[in-house]
Amino acid sequence: MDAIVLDHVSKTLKGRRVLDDVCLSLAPGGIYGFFGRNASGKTMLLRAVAGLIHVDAGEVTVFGRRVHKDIEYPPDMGLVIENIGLWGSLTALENLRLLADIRRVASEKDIRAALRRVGLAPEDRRKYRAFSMGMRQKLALAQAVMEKPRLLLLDEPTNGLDDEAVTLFRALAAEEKARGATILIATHQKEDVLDLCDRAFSIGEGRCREREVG
Amino acid sequence: MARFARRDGGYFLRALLGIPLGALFAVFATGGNTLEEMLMYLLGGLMARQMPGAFGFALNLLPVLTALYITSGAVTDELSRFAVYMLPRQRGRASWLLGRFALAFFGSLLFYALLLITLALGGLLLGADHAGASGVAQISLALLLTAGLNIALFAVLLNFLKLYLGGALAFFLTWLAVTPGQIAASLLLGVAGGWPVKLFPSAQGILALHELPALARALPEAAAFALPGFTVAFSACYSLFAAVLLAALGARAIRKYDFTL
Repeated sequence: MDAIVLDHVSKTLKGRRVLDDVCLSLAPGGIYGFFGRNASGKTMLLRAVAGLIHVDAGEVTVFGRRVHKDIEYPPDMGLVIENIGLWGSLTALENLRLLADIRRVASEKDIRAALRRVGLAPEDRRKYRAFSMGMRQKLALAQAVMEKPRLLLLDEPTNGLDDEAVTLFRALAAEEKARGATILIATHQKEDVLDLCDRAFSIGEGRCREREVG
Repeated sequence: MARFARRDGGYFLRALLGIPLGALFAVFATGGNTLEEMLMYLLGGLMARQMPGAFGFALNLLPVLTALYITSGAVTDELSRFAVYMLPRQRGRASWLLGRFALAFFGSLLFYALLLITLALGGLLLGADHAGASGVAQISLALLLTAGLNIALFAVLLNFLKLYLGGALAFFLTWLAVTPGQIAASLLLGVAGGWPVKLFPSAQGILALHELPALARALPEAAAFALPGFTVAFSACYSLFAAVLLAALGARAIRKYDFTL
């Protein structure tokens, strides 16, 4: 069974076709890169898979279940969305504890391990509002992986990260793949992740075309 | 859940700052002559008589709504900025939303009660005339359930609008929806001669009776009717029904919403 299937998916937003008859099948356990300029449609493709938008035509299937028909959101999913922050008055650890409280899948040990994996210190008492852009991005990555999800959807995951942090992210992605996770990465910084990808796609004007990796 | 309670408690504590503001507005808007008038103003049954026209309208309910904007921040969070990280983690979204609305309801109720108590104590200190205040206080206590629900409804409406329209516009539209709503309720009760109070014992309805001079004599009967018993039971059922309805509508609204952000 494919991890993700997009069957003739189209979406129009404010009169602009952001996804145009996209067809795609992705096997489980791989890393898939979606590259393109800003506003090319790569983010909307990830959001369609995540169930955050409703497609106008076609169908999105995640692990055999149709999004917005069989399920509202893929049930075992880690998500990084560009420019969405967390609670400013809480520390990194408190933010993750709050989110982990919903599903109760990640233990305290998992939460602390996730923070360390992205290069954040669980003991850091600074509030989120005092974080740099890079630290916020790292925390977003930590919340995505802390519950060891089956599916990871990462939108611009290397935004704001310095070289050292990008190296950490690459290691994180490789570890998640080794664990068996299916990972979709949408970015315009393809040099950061292209060599990690099992398959790569160019997105432009809502169209998705496979390209060679490497 | 303890962590959520702590976070929500933070919102509520910030909202409490609106209490002195609300009390000051009530004194200012009514002239501070009688405690009855001040209480009525806070319950939404009086417009700001000292300031006729648009400004008086603007002052009516503004402090309460402002504070509730913060009180219901717990719901706002889940419906806006953090929804993309919280919603996919929820299994039973309808029951979760029901919980959030219940929180907004009880938070609003508590806020309202504290506001009225503060004003009553403030009125004592100010030496305001207490004539008629006991009747209003009786109604206030008996109808807090529905008053809380009404305010929670406004708070939820505000949050949904915020999700779709942004904060400032949502706040303006909610206020616009509340004030004309009160006037419409008053007119309806005036036309109907007061009988809807017996079927729909809301604070707004009973206060509207008091607001219309021709029906002012109905107030003692309304106050007697509003004592605990049938009214409280009815209010509780009504609150439960409305909360379930709200949760269902909320879950549907979120399901249909595109998080294009």
